[in-house]
Amino acid sequence: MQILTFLLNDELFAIDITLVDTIENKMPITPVPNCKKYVIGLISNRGSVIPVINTSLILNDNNANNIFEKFIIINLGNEKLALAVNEIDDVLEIEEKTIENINNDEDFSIVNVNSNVITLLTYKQLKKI
Amino acid sequence: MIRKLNNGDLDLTVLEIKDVIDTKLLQTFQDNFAVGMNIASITVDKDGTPVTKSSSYTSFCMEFTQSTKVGENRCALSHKKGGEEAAKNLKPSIYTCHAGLIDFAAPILIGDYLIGTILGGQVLTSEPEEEKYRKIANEIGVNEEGYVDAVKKISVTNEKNVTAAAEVLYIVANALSKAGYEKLKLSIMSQTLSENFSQISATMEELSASSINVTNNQHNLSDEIVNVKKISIEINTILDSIKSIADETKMLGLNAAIEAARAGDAGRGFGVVATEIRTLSQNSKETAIKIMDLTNKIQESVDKTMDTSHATLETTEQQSAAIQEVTSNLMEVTTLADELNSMANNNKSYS
Repeated sequence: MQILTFLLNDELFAIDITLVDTIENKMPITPVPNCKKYVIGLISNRGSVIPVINTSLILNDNNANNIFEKFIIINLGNEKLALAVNEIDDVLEIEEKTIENINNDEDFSIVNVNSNVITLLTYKQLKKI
Repeated sequence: MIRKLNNGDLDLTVLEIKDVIDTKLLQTFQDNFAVGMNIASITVDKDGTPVTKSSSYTSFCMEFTQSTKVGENRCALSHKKGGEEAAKNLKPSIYTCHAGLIDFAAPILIGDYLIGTILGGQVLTSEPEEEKYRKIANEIGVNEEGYVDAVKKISVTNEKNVTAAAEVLYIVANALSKAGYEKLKLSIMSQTLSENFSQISATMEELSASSINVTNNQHNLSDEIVNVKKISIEINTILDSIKSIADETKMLGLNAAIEAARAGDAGRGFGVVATEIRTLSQNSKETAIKIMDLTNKIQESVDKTMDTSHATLETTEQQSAAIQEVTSNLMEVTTLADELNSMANNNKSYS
């Protein structure tokens, strides 16, 4: 399978590429009042209005001062979400069997890439949002 | 003859009386002195050639003693002996000539160097003995009676007077030669000075012109350096564009990879192309960064060069100013040297 790696606070994370629709440069975000803490606002992309998620927060990283340069637009069923990240790193080919679950919890998967352990965002984890 | 040695000094071996003493003045002095003291005199150069006319020569010497070859030779021998004595001792010598007259020879010196001799005398210190002069008349082959008559006309004085007269001639002639020599030296020195200053002045003018050139060139250089800096800044701007193009290309490559992945097996070929695009964008970015490093180094170099150039410019401007100051001072000095030269040359005619 292929994964898309990206940077948050100088740390590498990954996402299954089949979940990804496109990646986009940063664009103006329209703030939305009274919404969940991890929703920064809304963007308009290719005719759709998409909520922007502060990816740091859902990954339990409380650094709120991130400068989000890129958006990863993902498909979750019929819904689209924009994951705000610092930087897109690469597209990598990995063996599916190298994915490991932590504490037998399928929500937290890690993958070993070039002897670096990277947290892999999964469909289940994202579906919770 | 006035001739300079290689070191610029006067060549004393060829210097003659007329170079340092105005012979007309010497003649006038000598004539008046001879009449006043009733003592004959003549000035000869170092070879024995007369440079003045004889003053108050007695008829005894002129018309009798030197009228025959024998007499003339004897006279010449006496003079030579007296002159050599004077030259050897560097002071006047008093001697008795072959005909028994009291003569003197006073050397004219420049330093210790003999340039001529004042010969004189032709006096007696006691009444002549007739017998002696008849004998001499026969020896040299002149009329006995006339010779005796002539010797009787010669003034009789005492040796003290002759010595004093010789001393006076010696002192005056040497004072004249010394003054003349000093003036000659002064004249030559001031001429050399004037010539040298003219040369220095000309050289300084060239230097001044070339220093202005240097300043101008330095200005041009500074301007060019500023241009280089401007261009390197422009290059950096372009490199920024290239970097953002590389970023865009990367995005394009990533999106292409995402599309290829979604197409599954059908998209595998396209996935390779997408990877190539990403590699290309990475290379472009790295190259742009390398170029930027280089242009930054160029800018640093340019900044350093600018500093140096400013310092050089300041120095060359100071130099130009200094040279101009020196040149104007030099012009004053040259004028002074020229005045000195013309003064020294005017002085010469009074000596």
